[in-house]
Amino acid sequence: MVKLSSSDGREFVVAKEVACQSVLIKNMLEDLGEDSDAPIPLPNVSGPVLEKVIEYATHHKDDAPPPPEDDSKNITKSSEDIEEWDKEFINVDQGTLFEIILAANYLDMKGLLDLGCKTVANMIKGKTVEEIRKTFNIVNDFTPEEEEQIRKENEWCEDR
Amino acid sequence: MSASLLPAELLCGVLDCIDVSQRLRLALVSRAWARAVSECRTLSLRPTPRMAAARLSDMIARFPRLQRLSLKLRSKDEDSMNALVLLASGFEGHSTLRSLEADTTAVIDGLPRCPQLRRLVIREDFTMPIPHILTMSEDGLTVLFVRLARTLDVLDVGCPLLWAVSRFGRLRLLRPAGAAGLLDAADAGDGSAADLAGESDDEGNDEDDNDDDTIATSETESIAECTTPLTTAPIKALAMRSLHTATARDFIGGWLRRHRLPELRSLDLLCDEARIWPSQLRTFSSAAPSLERLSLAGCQLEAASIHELAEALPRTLLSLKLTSCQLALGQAASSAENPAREVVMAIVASLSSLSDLEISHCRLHFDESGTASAAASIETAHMPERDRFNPTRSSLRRLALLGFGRLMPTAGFVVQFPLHALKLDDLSPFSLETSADGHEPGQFPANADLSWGLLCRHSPDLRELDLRFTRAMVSQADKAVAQPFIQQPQTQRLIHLRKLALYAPPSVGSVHRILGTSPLLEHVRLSYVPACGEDSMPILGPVNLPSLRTLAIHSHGPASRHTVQHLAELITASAKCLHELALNATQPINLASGSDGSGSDGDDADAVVETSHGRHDSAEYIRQGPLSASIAIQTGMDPAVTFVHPSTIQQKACRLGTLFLGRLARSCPSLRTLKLAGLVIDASGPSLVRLAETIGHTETSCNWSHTLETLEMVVSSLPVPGLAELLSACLGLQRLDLCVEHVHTEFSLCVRALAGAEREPARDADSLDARRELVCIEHAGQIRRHAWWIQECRVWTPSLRQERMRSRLLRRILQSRAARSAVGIQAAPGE
Repeated sequence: MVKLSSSDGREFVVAKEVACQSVLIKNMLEDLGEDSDAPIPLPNVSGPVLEKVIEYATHHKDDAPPPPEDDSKNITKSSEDIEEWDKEFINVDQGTLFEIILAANYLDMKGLLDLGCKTVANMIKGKTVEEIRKTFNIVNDFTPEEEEQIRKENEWCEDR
Repeated sequence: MSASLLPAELLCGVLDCIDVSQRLRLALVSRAWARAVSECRTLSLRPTPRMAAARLSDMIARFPRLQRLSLKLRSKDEDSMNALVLLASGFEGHSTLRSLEADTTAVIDGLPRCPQLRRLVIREDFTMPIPHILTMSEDGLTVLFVRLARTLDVLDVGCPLLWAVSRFGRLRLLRPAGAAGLLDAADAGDGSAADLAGESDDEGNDEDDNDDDTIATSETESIAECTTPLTTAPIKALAMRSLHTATARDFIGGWLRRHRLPELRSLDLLCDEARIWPSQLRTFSSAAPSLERLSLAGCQLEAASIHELAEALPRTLLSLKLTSCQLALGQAASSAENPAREVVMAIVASLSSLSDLEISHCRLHFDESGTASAAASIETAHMPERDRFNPTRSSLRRLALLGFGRLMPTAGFVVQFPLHALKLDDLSPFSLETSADGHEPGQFPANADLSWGLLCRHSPDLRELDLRFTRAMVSQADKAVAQPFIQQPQTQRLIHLRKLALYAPPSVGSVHRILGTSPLLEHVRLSYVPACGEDSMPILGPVNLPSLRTLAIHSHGPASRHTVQHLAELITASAKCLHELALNATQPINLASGSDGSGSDGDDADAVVETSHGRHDSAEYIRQGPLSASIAIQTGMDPAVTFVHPSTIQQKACRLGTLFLGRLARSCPSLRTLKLAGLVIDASGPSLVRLAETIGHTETSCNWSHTLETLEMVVSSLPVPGLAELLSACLGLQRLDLCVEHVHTEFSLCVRALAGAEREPARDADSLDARRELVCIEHAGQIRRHAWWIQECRVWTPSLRQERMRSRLLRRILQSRAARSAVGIQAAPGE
C-alpha cells in the first residue's frame, strides 16, 4: 500500500499497482525505496481531483501497459475511442475536467491525459470560433490585422 | 478556470485529436491557441488544385515541430493527381519530420533534408504523372535505398515507375565502415554482372523450372564466393510493391544480397507475377537473420515441391502470408487426397516457430509426371522429420486458408493445431448444423470434415473465427429454414470468441445459437444471412452481447429487410458499447413492376404511389398498427415483446420500422457509425423526427450528438421531415451519405426543404436522370450550408437508366433460362 497526500492535506491509501499507474509516483517509489511509510506529497493535486484520479487508476489497474510511441499508428489521434466507463467517468463540469487533465499531466498518466484531451476535443468539434471563445471563456486578443493575417494563412485549406 | 489556462502543451494534445481542416481554423480563437496550433505534430493533406497553388514548404514551415506528414490523393482523377504532384514537388524537407506518407515520388527530392525521418511510405500508382523524375537532382533509388536506408526504420515503397527508371544492381552503396567512399556495384564483384546475365538466360528458359533453378543456384555460389563487404542498414520493416520478375531479381540480387539487415523483422514483397526461386528465398534468411514476418503476394514460387519451398523459407519466421502465389506441390503431395493439408503440414513442420499462417487464393501446381526426380529425393529425405511432427504441439495460433476450393476437400485437419484464430472458405453450409462427432480429443481421421462439434471440442481457445460457406441454392436454403432447428448441447460452444464473421451461414437459427453461446463477442459480421419472411422466421429471444463493438448484417432476397432488421434488434438490445452498425438488405430487382419501357413521367407517378403506400407501412413492424405502437412507447414497454407472428409476408412491408432508430438510439447510446442500406426510411413517417427528439433529449442516455460521426441512410423521397433537426443534433457528424429512392423532379418541394431557399430547380436538364441528379446536388449544398461541420456530404439517387438496363438484362437471362429448362427435364416449380 502507498500513502498519497494531496495539496489540501488529505491522505489517500491505495494499492501499489494502482498508484504506479502514475509514472511520477512509480519513479518516486523507486527512488524512496520499498519500505518507506511516509506519504508521497502531491502539492499540485487537490483532494477531490486526486480522488477522481484514483478512481480512474483503480478501474484501469488491470489494463495492458500502453504500447511504446509507435509511428505507424493512425496519423491523427481519433477522438472517438472512448470507452463507456471512461465516458461516464469524465462526465464532469469543465473546471474539474481541466483540473483532471492538469493532474494527469503532472502525474504522467498517459491514458487519463488522452481521455481528457479527447473529451475537450469533442467539446470543440462542430463549434464556430466565437462559440469556442464563449465555451472556454477566452478573450479574443488579436488585432484585426493579425486576425486577417491568420485568415489568409488558412486560406489554402479552406476550400472543399 | 478556462481552457486559456491550460498549458500550450496540453492544448496541443487536445488539438491533435481534431482533424486538420478544423484545427487550422482554431488558430483564430486567441494568440495562445494560434501558438498551440502551430505546435502541432501531425498534418495530413489531400491537396485540391487550389491548395496546390500554395508552396508546401511555406505551409509546413508554420509547424516547427511537425513529426508526421501525409500527402494523399483526394480522388483518382487527373486534377487531384496533378495537384498532389505539384504540391509535393515543393517539398524541401523538414527538420523534425519523423514519418512521411505520400502517394507520389515527387517528395523524394526533399527527403535528404529530413534528418529525423524514420518512417517513409510511398505508394505511387503507375498512372501518376511524373514530371519530376526528369528534374530530380539525384536518382530516386539512390536517395531511398542508399542514403535513407542508413537511417530509416520503416520503408514501404511501391513505385513501379521508379523501378523502371533505375536499377538496384547499379546502385553505388556506401562503404560499411562509415567512410564517405562509395562502393561501386561493378567493383562489388561479378555478382551483379552474373545476375544480369543469368536473368537473360532465365527469360529464355521459362518452360523448364529445373534448369532455371540450377542457374539461380550457381548464381548464389558465385556471389557467395566474392567476399564483398556487406552494407549494414538498421531498417526494421521493409515492403516492396509492384515488382515483376526482373525488378524482383534486381532488388533481391542487387540490394538485399549486398546488405546485412540485423534489425529487419518484417518483409513484404508484393509482386506482379514475379518468379521467385528458392535460392532467392534463402537470401532473405542470410540478409535478415532475425526476420519474423514474411508476406509474398503475386509470386510464382519456383520450388519443385512444397517441401523444397518450406525448406527455403527463413526458419526464424513467426508469420507467413502467401497471397495469389503459384506453388508447386511436388510429386508426393500431388497424389495426396487433400493437397491443401499437405501444403499446411509441410510449411508448419518446417517452420517450427511459425504462429501465423495465411494462404489465400494460391494456385497449386500439380506434378503429374510420375517420374523420379531430384524433387522426390528431397521429399523422402525429409519424410522422417514429417513423421515426428506433431501438429497439436506446434506453435501455430492463427491460420487462414482461402480459395483452395476442391483442393481442400475436407477442412477438419485444421483443428489439430492449437488455434486462436481461424479463417476458412468454401465450407459446406451443413457443417455448422451437424454436431455428431464420435472422435475423442487428440484423435481424428486425417480427412474428417469440419463441423461445429469438431471445432468446439478441439479448438476451445478460438478467439477469432471467420467462416465462409458456399452459398446454398434457394431450394436448399428453404429446406434449412424449414427443418426443425437442431438443438445442440450447451457444451458445444466457443466461450472465448471475440470476433466472428460468417459468410452465407446456413440458417438464422444457427447464427443465433452461436451468438447466444459466445458472450464475449466484440466484433460480428454476418453476410448473406438467409432471408426469412416473417412467417418462416424462427422465434428467437434477444441475444446478450454486452461487449459488442461492431456489428454488420447483410442479407439478400425479397425478405431480407425483415431478416436484417429483426436480427439487428435482437442483437443490439443489450449491446451498450456498440460503436459501429452496418445493416444491408439487398433486394433483387423487381421484375414485375412495369418500369421497363414506361415513360419518364411514369416513374415519378410510380414514386408517388409508393410513398402513399408507405403511409400504411410506417407501422408495419408492430402489427397492431400505429396506435398501439405509440402506446408501447408511452408505457415504456418494449415493443419487441408485443411482436406477433403474422401469417403472410407483405411484399411492400419492407421499410425500416418507425421505432427502430429511436430504440437503437436508446440501446446503443454511443454509436459512431450507422450505415443503413436497403432499409428505406419513409419520408412520410416520423422516423427521423422521433430520432432527432431522442438524441436531443437530455434525459435519455443517448450520446449520439457527440459520438455519431458517419451516417449513411436511404430515404424514400425528399424532403424528409426531421432531417434538419437530426443534423443539428449531431454536432460530431463528419460524413453523411444520403440515398434518395425517388426524386420528384416536378416539385420543388424538396429543394426548399432545409434552409427555406425559394430557388426553383433547374429545368433545362434534358434527361430525367440529369434532373434528378441536379436536385440531389442542390440538396447536398443546402445540407452543407445548414450543417457546415460535416466534412463529406453526398446526396444521390440510383440512376434510372442503369436500373432499367439491369432489369432488362436480368429478364432476358431469366427468359433464356426458362426456355432451356423447358426443353430439358421438367423444371422445379421454384425456378
